[in-house]
Amino acid sequence: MAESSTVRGEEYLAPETLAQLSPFELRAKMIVEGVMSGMHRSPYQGMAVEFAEHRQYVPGDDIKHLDWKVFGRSDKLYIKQYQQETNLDVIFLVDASGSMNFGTLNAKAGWGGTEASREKNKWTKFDHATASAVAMAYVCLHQQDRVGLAIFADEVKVFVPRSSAQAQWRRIVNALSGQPVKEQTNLAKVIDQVLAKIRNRALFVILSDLFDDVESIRQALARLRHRRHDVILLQTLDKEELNFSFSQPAPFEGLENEGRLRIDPRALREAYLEALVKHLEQVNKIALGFGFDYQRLDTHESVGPALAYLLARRHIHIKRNKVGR
Amino acid sequence: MNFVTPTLAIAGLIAVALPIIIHLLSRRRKRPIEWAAMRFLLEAFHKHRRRLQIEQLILLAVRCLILALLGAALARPILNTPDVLDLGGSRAVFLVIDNGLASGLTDAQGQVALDKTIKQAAKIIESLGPGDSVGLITAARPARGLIVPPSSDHAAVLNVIRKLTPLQAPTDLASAAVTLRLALKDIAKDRERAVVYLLSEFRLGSASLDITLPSALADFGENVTLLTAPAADEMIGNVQVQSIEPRRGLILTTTAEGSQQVTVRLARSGSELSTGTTQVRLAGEGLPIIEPKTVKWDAGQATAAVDFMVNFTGQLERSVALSATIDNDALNGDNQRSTVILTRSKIRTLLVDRRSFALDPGLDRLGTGEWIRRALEPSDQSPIDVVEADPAALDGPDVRGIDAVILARPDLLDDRSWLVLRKFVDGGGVLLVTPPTQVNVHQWTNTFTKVMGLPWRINLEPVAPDDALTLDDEQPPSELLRMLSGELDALTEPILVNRMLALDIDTSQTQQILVLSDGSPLLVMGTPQQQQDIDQDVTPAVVGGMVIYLAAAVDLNWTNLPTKPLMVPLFHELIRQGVGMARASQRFSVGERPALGLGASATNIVGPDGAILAIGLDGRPHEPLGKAGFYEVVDSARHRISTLAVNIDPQSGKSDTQRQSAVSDWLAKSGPWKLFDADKPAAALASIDTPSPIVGILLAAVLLLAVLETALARWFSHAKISSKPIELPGLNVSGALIGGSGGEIR
Repeated sequence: MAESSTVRGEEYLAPETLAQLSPFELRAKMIVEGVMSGMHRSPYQGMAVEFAEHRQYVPGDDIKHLDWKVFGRSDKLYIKQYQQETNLDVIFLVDASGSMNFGTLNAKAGWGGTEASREKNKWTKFDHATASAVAMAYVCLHQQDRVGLAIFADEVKVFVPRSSAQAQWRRIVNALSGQPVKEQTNLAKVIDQVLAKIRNRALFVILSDLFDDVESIRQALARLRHRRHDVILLQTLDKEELNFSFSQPAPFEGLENEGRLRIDPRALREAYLEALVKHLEQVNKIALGFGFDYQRLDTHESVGPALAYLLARRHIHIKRNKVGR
Repeated sequence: MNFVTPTLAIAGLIAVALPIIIHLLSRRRKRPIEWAAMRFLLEAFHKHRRRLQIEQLILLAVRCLILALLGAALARPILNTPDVLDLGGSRAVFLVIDNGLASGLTDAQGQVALDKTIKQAAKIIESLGPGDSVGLITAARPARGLIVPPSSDHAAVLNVIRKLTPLQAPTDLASAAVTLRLALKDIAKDRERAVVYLLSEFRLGSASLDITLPSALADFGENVTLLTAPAADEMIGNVQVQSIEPRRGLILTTTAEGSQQVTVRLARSGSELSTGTTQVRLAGEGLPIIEPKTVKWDAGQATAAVDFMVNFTGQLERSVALSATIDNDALNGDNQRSTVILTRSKIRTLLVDRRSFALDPGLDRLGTGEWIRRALEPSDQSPIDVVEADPAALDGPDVRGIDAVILARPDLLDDRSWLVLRKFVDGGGVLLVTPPTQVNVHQWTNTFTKVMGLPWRINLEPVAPDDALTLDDEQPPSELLRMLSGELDALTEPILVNRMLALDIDTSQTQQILVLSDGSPLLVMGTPQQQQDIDQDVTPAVVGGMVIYLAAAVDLNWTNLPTKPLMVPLFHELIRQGVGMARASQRFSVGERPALGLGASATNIVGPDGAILAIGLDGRPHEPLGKAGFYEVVDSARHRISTLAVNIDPQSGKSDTQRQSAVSDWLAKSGPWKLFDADKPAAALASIDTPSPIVGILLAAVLLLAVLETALARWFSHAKISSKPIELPGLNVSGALIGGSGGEIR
């Protein structure tokens, strides 16, 4: 994973994008562990600010939490439990495999993007994924969350440890300004590598085209669910991948060393789309099965509205389940 | 299978490589498209690879086949074994067969010319493919399109050809060319290829090189191939009865003319004219047996004449059929000739003149009519009866039963009377016209020449030379005055002409009888032409009678003829010979539809074989006279009205060979004829390209394959779903939310 010497963080953050994201806060659906005060509820109850509930005293409990008023009225020992607001650990996993280096939308000045995409003058899926990640990281850091980053393909290529420091955002931007590699995605292996470094529960934001085996994706998400992590799955695709509207016979060359294939696109379009849709539906089904958020991003559309929709949906979901504040 | 243009067929085969070359070139030229979702593309490809390969192979095969078939079609294949497809070419082959009189000529091996022609025709037909059609035109007059348009039933055509026999009519290649042209025009409309075979020996009897062929076949271009048989070079001697000439065509039984001399003329052709003999027989119905005579031919002698004395005593008021016959030879059709000799007790003549009531006027005051009447009836025993009619009241009944009309006052005739006279002439009458002395301007002449259909231009005013004109010392030979030929010089010598109504004539259509010393005609004879023939510019049909015009009125102020010895014999001979020639029927020829001019009572003609021909409203038989011999003209009750003698055209029996170069030059005027090999007539046909139905089949196949290719290419490309958008419900949210924020925000 090569890093670019030029930092273009500002270019990623268009004011309009941030304006669309600002009404929403990135809320973890699950209560996260944290040591710093933040906006998210902590599963650690006790001394914190807000009363949560009573529970019967059991030997070993700290008696300083006994509710004496209840004891005086009912002659029973109850412990007062509190919920503490804590920080959210957000880990961005950005796919930098070869397939992400694909785009058909002509890039315009000021959009940012990688050196490779600038040379091609195309807005690639990797550009779109990094722009989304940077925008979300900015929001997280702004609300005191700790943000980490892993850039991966068949394995983790770059890992930026979690931090809530303001300099963390720039480190993330620097890391994301590199170029995709030609390897294929291996999400299961990547998740194993990342989980080895993350002990507490966190929110994993996976930005990838998910052009991986469905079973590999299932295994990866299952491990995250097993560790009780929350996951936002942002599948980034180019519009042309969903249309496949080529009309003339031509050779097609894979970006992940799959070789070259000379076909008549019109003859294969139906079968191709059938395979693609099947894959997308399977991924969607797996994500929803684990209770994770799944969102498809289109590189031909703006980053802001899609992310705003995602955050609004999470906000509504959390309030409906009375998990958040 | 051969090709007319094999290079195109090779080009078509080479062109098969074009789709492959284009495919290979396009592979090189296209830059690869980088594609991220390659795993799904590969999955789709592996799933459908076999189907795609088969589709591509089918498309490639169809495209290659299109080019190969197109090349083959353009190369115009010729099928050597048409039975394979049960289709042949689509040539229209016309056989123009000479079945005229000369086609009956038998060679030294005993083979008839027409039989040889039929064998050639059979070879040609047997070589044709089932797709070819055959037409048949016979060249004997009148030329007939027996099988036009051409038929594809070859066996039936061959059957018709094998039944052909030599006719007695002359060969008329000019008419055959016109008939052929009409048939070819229909073929040309369908853009078919036509081949014409002209099958004839081109002997003198079949092809008279003096007749100009119409250029009827010159403008058909390469779509019509004209092939002609070579002219025969085998000399075959033939003797024919060329004519039978009675001294008089009309025998007056009241005179001492019981025996008449009849001359039979023979002609030889087609051989080196060596020595030999020919027996000539003469026979007549009701006549005593006539002793045959033998002609001894000297070497090089081409013609001979044999005189017979025939006793007509006792033959009253009838037509005597007389036939001359010789022995069978190479051509039998011309070995007999017939004629009809009329026997009469009186000749009835109508004098059309205004009656003079003067009592015994002096000779110097006698008018034309009176002079002529006196000449014809010099005594009570005259065989000529003269009746008179007033010119202003001349009508049909006046001429009924009349043999000759002498018109002394043509200026007094109205149009209706002129038509009566025309009908009379058409019916075989003799009309003698003299200018009237009573008028100075002769406006009647225009009506006269027009109604009679004569190519004469008669002056409107008489001319009177300063010095009286005499008759020329040498008068032209004339059938009318044949009996006077011995004394004619002496008789014409004293004749002077002071005044005359001169005329200009076309000597080819008018016979001069007496000529003045300045060369201008004094007495002429013409045969009227049918007006419809003049309008249609066709060969004039023979009509019955004749018109005689005397340029000087029979008046002493005009000429001294009435007072000279020539007067009586002249008018007697004009009437007798004229009526005899007009009534005799020797001029009817086989193959013609002559105008009989026998009046409305004649309804049918019974031929020598008993066949009945109806006479049309135009006075002609519906069908041409097909055979030589005697024909009886009958009325509706089958009563005989008269007898006609129909003979062959002597020219059509000439068996002389003609030089090939001369025949070729002659034929070239009608079109680009090419010679074919007489032994292998079909060989020429094989070398002519066959735009056979297989070309059409190939082109249809190309068209069908082109349509199939388009359909397959569209079907295999699945173009019908290429614009169908992908549907992923519940996954795509961006569209609804982008809204007014604009797509420019990343």
